[in-house]
Amino acid sequence: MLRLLAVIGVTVFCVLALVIVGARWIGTYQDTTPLPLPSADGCWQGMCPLGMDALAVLTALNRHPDVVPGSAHFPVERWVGLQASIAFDYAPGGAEPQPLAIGLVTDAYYVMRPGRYEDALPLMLLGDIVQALGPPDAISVHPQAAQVELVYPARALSVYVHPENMAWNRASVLPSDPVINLVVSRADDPREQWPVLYPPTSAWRGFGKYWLQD
Amino acid sequence: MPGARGKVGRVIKAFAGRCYAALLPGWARPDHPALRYTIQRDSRQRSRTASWLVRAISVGVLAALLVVSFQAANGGAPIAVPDEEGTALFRVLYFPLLTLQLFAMMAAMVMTSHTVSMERARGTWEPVKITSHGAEVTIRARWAAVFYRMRWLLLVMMLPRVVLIGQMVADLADYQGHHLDLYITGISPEVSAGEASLLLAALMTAALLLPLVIVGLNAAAGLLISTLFCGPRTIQAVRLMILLLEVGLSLAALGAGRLTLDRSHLWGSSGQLGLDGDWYCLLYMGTLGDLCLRFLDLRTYFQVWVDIKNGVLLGAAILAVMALLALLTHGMLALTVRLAGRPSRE
Repeated sequence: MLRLLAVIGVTVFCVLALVIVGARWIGTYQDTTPLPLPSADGCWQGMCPLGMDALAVLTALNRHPDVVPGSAHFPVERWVGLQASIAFDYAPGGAEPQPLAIGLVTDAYYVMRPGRYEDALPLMLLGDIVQALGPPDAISVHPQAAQVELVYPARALSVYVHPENMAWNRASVLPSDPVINLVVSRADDPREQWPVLYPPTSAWRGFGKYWLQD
Repeated sequence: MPGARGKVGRVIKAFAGRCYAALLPGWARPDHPALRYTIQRDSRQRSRTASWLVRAISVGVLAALLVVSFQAANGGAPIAVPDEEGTALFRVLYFPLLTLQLFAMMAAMVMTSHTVSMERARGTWEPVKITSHGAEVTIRARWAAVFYRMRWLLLVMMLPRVVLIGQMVADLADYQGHHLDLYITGISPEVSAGEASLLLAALMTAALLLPLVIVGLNAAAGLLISTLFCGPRTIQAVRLMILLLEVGLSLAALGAGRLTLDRSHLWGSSGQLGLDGDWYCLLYMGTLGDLCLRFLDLRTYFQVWVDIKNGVLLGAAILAVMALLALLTHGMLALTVRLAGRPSRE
């Protein structure tokens, strides 16, 4: 019977290993990035909100081929910390429209969902970002906001994530964590200018636990 | 053409038959007289009506377990598994499968622990012993008969595992096929994507075969009890003690594993210690608790890789423990055969 078990075990193992390799290979042919990411020049979908005022962004969005015509508007609700925000429905190629918003502050803009992030769908999952852009250079834990920030300095991009497992001084960062917003800034790294305002960063070492003071 | 097809069919059948004969020992084949006799005698012990009643009750209990588990999962409080873990199907199936596994372990031992005493009561044990390999064939046939008798229960236990493994494989295609690659960055020890794939396959293999090994181990333990102890009452008492111990160990393993998984996401010792208590707790849960069931959710298992040092090696370790348990079963059967073949004192 041991021989039978060994033969079954080896066969099952080989079949499963092949199936796993096959599934990973099939996955490479799936285009699953849910939303376009800001490009390396700081623009989003060919539009560069960093050099535009709110009205220009609104007009550009309403003319954008992937935005439902006329859907871009200034929401009644003002979001704290933003100078202006424009909500719109994004529907590339006639796909199901999904609500998005662009928030403007001095020298930076946000791509986010309209409304409170706790109530809204995530922009995408962190795994999508790391898969598309590669690993970030640094990560910083923001316990007061229950968020984690992934920093891509070469793209002037910060990705804010709401980890499912978070304590007062640490967070467990996983690919399935929801991304709340993407922030593209024009200025040099604001951490260097205003270090006291930002929690310390630590080098990215893969998914897992990160401490406030790593 | 039909002639050629028939010839190919015969060749395949002959090849399959030869493989079957080479792998399965004679006493484990359903056409072996001892095994056939054991299975037929077991089935004749109950009337047709009683058999159908048992089947109806089994289906009813299974349906009730599923309904209770579904209601609990639907109400946001799945039984024995956290609400946020796994797919909806996983949360519904976990508790019924866990219950079935415990039942199968106990049933395997109960089915075999009276083998020798029943033969003695019938007055057939001494004649069996004086025939060539009589005791050995009887013991081994009784052990094999457990798998034939429990085939439907084993099927019910195995099918959901196959489905859950299928779900895991489908999830591997996420993130453009890089789901696994994302989780192995920075884990300890460092492994390549190919090695990680093999380690994942090891876990899945263990998850598929472990229930069979555990049922075999319990059946062998029951046979050893039946050989070591005389008298139905003594056997019942010993069996009860062992079953209680086994259930206790299983529940303790489940508790330890759940506690470890719940706290390891934030408070585990990733990157600080070697093989620590958390790792052993999960090994304990995987082998003796829920027989890898909790790890049949890709996210949960990948989180173990990330949160617990050497977590990536857990699948291979469980497979190794499973091989040891199979060897233990083999040894127990060999010991039982040797003890059963000894002449009686009276």
